[in-house]
Amino acid sequence: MTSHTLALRDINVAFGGNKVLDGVNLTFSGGLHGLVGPNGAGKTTCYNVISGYVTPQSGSVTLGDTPLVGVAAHEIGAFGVGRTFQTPKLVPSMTVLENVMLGANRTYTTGHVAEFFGSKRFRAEERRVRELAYLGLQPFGLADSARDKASSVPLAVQKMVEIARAVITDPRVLLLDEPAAGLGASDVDKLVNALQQIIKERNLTTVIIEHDLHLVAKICTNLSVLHYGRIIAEGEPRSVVSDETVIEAYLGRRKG
Amino acid sequence: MSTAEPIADIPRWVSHPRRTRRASLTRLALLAVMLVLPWYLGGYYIYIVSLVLVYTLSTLGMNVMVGWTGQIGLAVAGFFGLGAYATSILHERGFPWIVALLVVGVFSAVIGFVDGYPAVRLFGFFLAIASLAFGDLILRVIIESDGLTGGGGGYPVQLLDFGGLDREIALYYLCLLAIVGFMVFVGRVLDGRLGRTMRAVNNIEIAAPSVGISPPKYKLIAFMTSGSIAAIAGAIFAQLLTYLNPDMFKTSLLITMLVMLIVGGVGSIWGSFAGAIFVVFVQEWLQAFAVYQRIVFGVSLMLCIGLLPGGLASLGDKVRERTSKRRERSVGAEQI
Repeated sequence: MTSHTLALRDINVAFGGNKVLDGVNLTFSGGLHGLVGPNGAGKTTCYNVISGYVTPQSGSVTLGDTPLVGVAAHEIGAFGVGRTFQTPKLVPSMTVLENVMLGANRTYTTGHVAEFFGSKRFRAEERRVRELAYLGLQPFGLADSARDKASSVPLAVQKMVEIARAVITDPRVLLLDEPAAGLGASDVDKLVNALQQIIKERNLTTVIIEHDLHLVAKICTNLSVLHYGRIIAEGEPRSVVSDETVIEAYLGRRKG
Repeated sequence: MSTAEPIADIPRWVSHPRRTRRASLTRLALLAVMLVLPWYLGGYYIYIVSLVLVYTLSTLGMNVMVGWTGQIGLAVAGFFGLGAYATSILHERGFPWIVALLVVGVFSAVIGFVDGYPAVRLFGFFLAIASLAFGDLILRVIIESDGLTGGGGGYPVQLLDFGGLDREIALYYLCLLAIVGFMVFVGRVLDGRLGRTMRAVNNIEIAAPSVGISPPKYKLIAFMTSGSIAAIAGAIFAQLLTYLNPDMFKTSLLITMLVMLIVGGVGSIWGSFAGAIFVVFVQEWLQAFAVYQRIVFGVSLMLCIGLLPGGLASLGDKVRERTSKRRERSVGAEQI
């Protein structure tokens, strides 16, 4: 098991009497994984369990050999689990560059006292983070938007900025929540190209939640289908997409 | 120099962000004007400007909490009073004033921690009520410890000894020094990493942990910084007023501070200046008509919340936005 392997074992989550995840087992290791399923299947809850926002009633999550259940969300973030959200979460009053810089928060070795006194080491680090953030925008072709206010850029750019923020500090695992939703075809192409470049360069385990089955089938090496809190199919995308139970879950039972 | 080689395709403004020349010049010019002001203004006006500066500082303290981390903390008037009384008392007992100020600054940060530790788990209305009560508690302690503070009867402040200098002018420079100190240290940090992190906690609290930021930690830092700054402002306020009374730090002061914050502009350093100027101007202008003061404050609060949510500080941007739109429109018309 490499340190980039993320494993969920027998995860159970219920909100009140509503069982959201029912004995979910998932293993993500290297490459681009797709996590698909109809609305309300529990995909985002899976992410919330991994990143510590939701504590499961039972089951374990491990990244490499480190258990993640019970660890505070910000520590999991600092430990190398990056994620994005269905609606991009950016600070509107800050520039695109500053928003990406937030991602590098965990890499500072100097504290706020050093910042207060403007220490040389802090300033060097701040400069490094600014450069890192700028370079992080390049795969998405967004370097020219670096100085724009986050509130003034279009949704597609906001989504890519959020991914850039999650990526710049080399997380071990990257969880993307519907990155292509609401994007036009050309923006989706741009996004996919950038993602594939990043994953190749950084040996990053990436999981992608997406409604567009054809898109995930095209770009992912591995696909898991979640339906009513259970994994109903898993494996190589082409076979998963043609699986009877998956078609049934998405489209309903065939008549006759 | 051991600085790393610059990477070729990173533009200079990324690696070496400089405040624009114009902004730096504006600051320097403003400082120069402030420095020579006592030569041109009479004693009373110097006092007024000093008051503006002290109010600015206290509003900035509140702003760190409300504007940067988005917590509606209302204990600031209490901290202002705490700083005023505690520094004056220590000074009277033989501590050099500046030492007393520093001790009280640190002590207030500790009290801010005590206030914040349970309160960072509260949001919005609940936080407002809890912090309001905490501010009141501080005031209550001041009133009840009448052996130290003179209680409701008031407390004559032992005045700072400026040697042979004119007291009003010396105090003015002290206020100026405090503001410049704030801008150099706190202002820079608020524009930098700490400020960015705090804004993230404010705007995207849900997402902050995903980049390793712990929202409660930064909220707590805001509580401590805010308390400390408000207390330092209070200490200088005591020297300006020369006589303290618990009534000065009651809810009416808090409301005045809220007006400064909101009319000036939440989340903007210059906004706090603008708000303080506005409030002191109204207070002096309508000195004889306390009722009208309140009406003016109330109406301006409503106007700002309704029409100008960014406060006076956002006025420039608004005007620029308008004029550029008008220009675009006229350009469009010409093309037709």
